[in-house]
Amino acid sequence: MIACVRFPFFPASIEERDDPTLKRQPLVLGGQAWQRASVYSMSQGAALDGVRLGLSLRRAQLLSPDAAFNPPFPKHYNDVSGQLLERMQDWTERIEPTSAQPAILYYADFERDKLPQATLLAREIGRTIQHESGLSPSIGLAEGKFSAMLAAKSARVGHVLPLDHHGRLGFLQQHPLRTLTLPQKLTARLNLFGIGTLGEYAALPAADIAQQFGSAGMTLYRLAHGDDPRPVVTPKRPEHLDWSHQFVEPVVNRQILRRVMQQAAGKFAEQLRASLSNARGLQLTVETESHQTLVQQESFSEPVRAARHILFFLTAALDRMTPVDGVDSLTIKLNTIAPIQPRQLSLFDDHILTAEKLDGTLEQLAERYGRKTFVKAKPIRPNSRLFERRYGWEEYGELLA
Amino acid sequence: MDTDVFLRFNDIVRSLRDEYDTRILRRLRDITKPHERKVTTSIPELDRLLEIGGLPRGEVIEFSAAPTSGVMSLAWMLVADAQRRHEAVAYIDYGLCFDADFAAGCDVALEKLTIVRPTVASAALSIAATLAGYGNVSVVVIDSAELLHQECDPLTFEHSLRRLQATLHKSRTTALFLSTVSPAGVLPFASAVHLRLDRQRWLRRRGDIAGVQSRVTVERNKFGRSGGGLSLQFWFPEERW
Repeated sequence: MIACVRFPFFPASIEERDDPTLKRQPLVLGGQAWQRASVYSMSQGAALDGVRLGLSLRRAQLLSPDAAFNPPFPKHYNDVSGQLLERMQDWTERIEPTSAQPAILYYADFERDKLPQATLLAREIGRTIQHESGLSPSIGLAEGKFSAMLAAKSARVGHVLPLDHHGRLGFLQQHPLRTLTLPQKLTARLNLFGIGTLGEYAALPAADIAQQFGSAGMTLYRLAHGDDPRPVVTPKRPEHLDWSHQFVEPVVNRQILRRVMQQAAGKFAEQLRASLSNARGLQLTVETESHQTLVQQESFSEPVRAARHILFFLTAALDRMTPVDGVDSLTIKLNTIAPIQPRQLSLFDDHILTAEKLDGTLEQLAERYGRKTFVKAKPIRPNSRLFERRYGWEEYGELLA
Repeated sequence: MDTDVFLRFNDIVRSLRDEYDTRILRRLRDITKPHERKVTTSIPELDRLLEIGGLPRGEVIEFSAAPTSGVMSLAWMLVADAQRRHEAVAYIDYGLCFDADFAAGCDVALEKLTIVRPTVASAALSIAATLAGYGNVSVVVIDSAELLHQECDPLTFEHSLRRLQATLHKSRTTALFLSTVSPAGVLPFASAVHLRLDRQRWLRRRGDIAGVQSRVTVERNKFGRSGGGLSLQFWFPEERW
């Protein structure tokens, strides 16, 4: 069975999660309404008003005058997406992330599980993600990717819609033809024949479809019948990762070298996370001002993926080197990239418990000492030139709300 | 394990933990080993200097320094490192001098940092003890120690500090007191580790002050040798140059 975990209006739902006051009105991401930019993403409310991706912000404001306009933070959305991907790997390593703006989809392959077991697992995934990330996915379960995607689209947010082998045909029939990505010419011809739904397309004789529309038409015909042989494709794994940095002038200070290595470790961690893999070793090459080349190799006792672990080994390798003069360039090669082995499900996930326990304690303390005593700093104007205007306070009561 | 069996097992474990205590069932690897009773400072040289590989958990730690000696940078490095391990951190801002922008620049995840702004000195220590005892907090940063010491009645301060110490010994929390006015520190006997920072020189980049180099001296260490020291360089977050 294949599960399609769908987060509709993904960037906007992250913004609304981070700042719940945005939930009161439609939200358009892309910048301020007066800026010459286009819509990056929007919330469901704005989409209902007619706002679409790529529309100019001024046009978006005309369509949705009550909407709040905020700048987008694509890096933050990528980070959250990476965290979700990482979390889902607890259930299966065969996960394919796909972007279908403004939604984001993850196909998870439970090839050994039958529908009842897969439904239970999908519910568990939904519950855990909702609890940990505060984002609510809709999940569709079917034998093929296409049916699973349509089921996820039709499912209510926070729910699982399982489709069994017999029920999927009836489910698919009602969907309009535009759910298939058809060539324009083919769509025009089908419209002339008066065919508007998948059911009507699937009811046509296969031989006629092959004769009229060729192999592309037949592929879509099979999809309309719910036959989707496409496997879940995990991101391609690189054999090794390279990174190098050339300094403008030779560097002696190890703190600067460490800082540069910290950046490299962060980039490696991102790449490893995106390709669902671990590294088992690294090679650090340092070239000095006097053309001296120093090489250190590290083999990890355990596969490594986190930035801090990579940085730890890089620092250890650098500590063993004694360059006689300033460092001209650093080259890092992360090798023996291996797939991530499935881990045990998080029965005892400590940081969730920690958060729950802390919330409980803060609730009691807030009653005793007042809610204003417990706050969190939240960005208000992150781009303001004055440091003191960038952050504000969020009181404990608001945090809970 | 079969999916059904696993999910049933998951439910049973959850209900047992809800009914009794979260600590009643634990994975073997989660049970604390002696070498895990430390918080790394994220600076390997300093960890080595402290001999146990970091600052001890379940103890009172004091960082003292004159202003602008890098003490906040060091504290935020510790906090950011704990947050990277998904540990909860609380910051008791009794001096009302929390700088969110600087903390964010030191890689602190502000959305995960609980800030406490008590109005009474005794409440600050009491909240710290409660967070350590029941809140499952890894590090509690108390800023500033000398302000608490000045404004609290000496007997109450002594009593609250003892209560905090007793709670810390039972927990895995590290209470980090910052004294940014008096370099000699205000908790000479209560702290298990006392680090003193003395500014040596400003670090410049393109003519502007971009950081500070300080000498870190181990004034007191219950778990290793005292008196050692090393020089550390703290670079300001880039926008502040």
